[in-house]
Amino acid sequence: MERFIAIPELRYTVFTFLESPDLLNCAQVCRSWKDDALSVRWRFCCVEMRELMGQLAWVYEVGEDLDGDYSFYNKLEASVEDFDKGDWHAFLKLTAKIHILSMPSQPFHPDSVELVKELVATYGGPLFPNLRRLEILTSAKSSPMVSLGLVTGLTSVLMYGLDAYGDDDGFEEIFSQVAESCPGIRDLRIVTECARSGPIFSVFPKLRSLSYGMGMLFAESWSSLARCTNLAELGIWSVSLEEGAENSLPEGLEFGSLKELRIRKMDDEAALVLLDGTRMPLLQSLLLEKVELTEEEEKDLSDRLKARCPDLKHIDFV
Amino acid sequence: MSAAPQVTLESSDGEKFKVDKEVAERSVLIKNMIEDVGESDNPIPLPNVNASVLKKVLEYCEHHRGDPLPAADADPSNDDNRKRATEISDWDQKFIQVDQEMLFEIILAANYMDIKPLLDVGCKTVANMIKGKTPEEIRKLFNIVNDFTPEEEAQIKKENEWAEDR
Repeated sequence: MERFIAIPELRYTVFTFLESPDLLNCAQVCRSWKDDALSVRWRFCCVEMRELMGQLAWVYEVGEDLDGDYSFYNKLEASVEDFDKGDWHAFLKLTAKIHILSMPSQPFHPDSVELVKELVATYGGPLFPNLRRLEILTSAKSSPMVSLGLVTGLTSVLMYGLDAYGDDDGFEEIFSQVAESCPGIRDLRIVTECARSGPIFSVFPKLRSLSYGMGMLFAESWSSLARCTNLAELGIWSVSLEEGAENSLPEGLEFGSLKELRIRKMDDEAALVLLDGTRMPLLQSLLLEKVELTEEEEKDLSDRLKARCPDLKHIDFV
Repeated sequence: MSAAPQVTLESSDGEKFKVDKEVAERSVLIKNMIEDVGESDNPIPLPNVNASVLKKVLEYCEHHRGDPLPAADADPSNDDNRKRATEISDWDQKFIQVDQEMLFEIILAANYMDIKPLLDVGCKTVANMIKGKTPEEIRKLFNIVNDFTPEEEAQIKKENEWAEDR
């Protein structure tokens, strides 16, 4: 490796001049680059957020600890009357520049979210009109996720590191907040570690594409997908199936609009339970990656599926 | 009126450069050295910088001799607010148009000699080289060996796919 870029501080300095997509590419270069590139990415997203909210002047000071401890925040002393239309429009203009919003655990004081909501109600929006994607790095422990109420009209949400440790309402709470403020979500990607409860995906009626990775898949979550009547693309990744799921999947489960299904890194029996227990009449392509089936099982499965899915042209076992 | 005070710098390969003290002191390393040992006629050795690189670095220091020095005790939290603007001034832009090896050497020298503005110009230039490149192209640029296992690579790629637009 070139000598200078091997020096962590110099590499870090270079990274600070890059933006999100390039930092993601850097994270894929080699091990020693990965953590730095990702940490710069989050750090700057967080800083941008802070700068942005700073435009609402004296609203508050954001502390370093963003895990939901507000004790160090200044008390919110501003109210709607303190802002005139001009202030607000300047702020809206700023939010219009933002396409991707990455939120660390808790970027806003709950009071300031209320204030912004009131300002929207008084002077109108649109807030973040050009936002294409919201990324949330959080843990359900740091609810309330009041900040989500700020962002509306989103179509794409990515949630990183959602851990519903212990409290079963973790997913429900976050999901209902996102779904309530953004009913138009079409694209949802969730990377989680240990979900204790099953997200109900049907709260997103327009869901077209779902990626779900690294956690537990619950029968009720899978079943809820049947009520997402626009779901065309589904990927599940490194998930294990809830124990006893084969008995709790409802009879005659049908994903009526699903065209593309990808299952990666899943226990073979679990994959078969899902594939055999669900009708997918429009399925066109299926990818099974790192699902340890014998050749015979693969062939049997192909035959069964082809008999049930007339449009199924591609089955790939990787 | 006496001439501006001068100091002599000696590169790793033994070449000596006589420059105005004000120019040499763009380097925090040299500034501190002069403060520590006091003025002396002995050349200041720079064992990590060869003559061709030192010449280039001094060209930068000469041009920027009048610039206000960055505050030594800059609040590190200010770093957060640091504009990530990647624009580089016209003169700096021309100055840094060197071959890749020289660019990397200049960055190392700026780091060693502690010349923050030059370090930033160099790092911005490298950042601009990285922009828009694929991980493989970046590896090639810096001679980096991909040490991810195929499995890890697939996983991180997947995670990033999630984070990126389709």
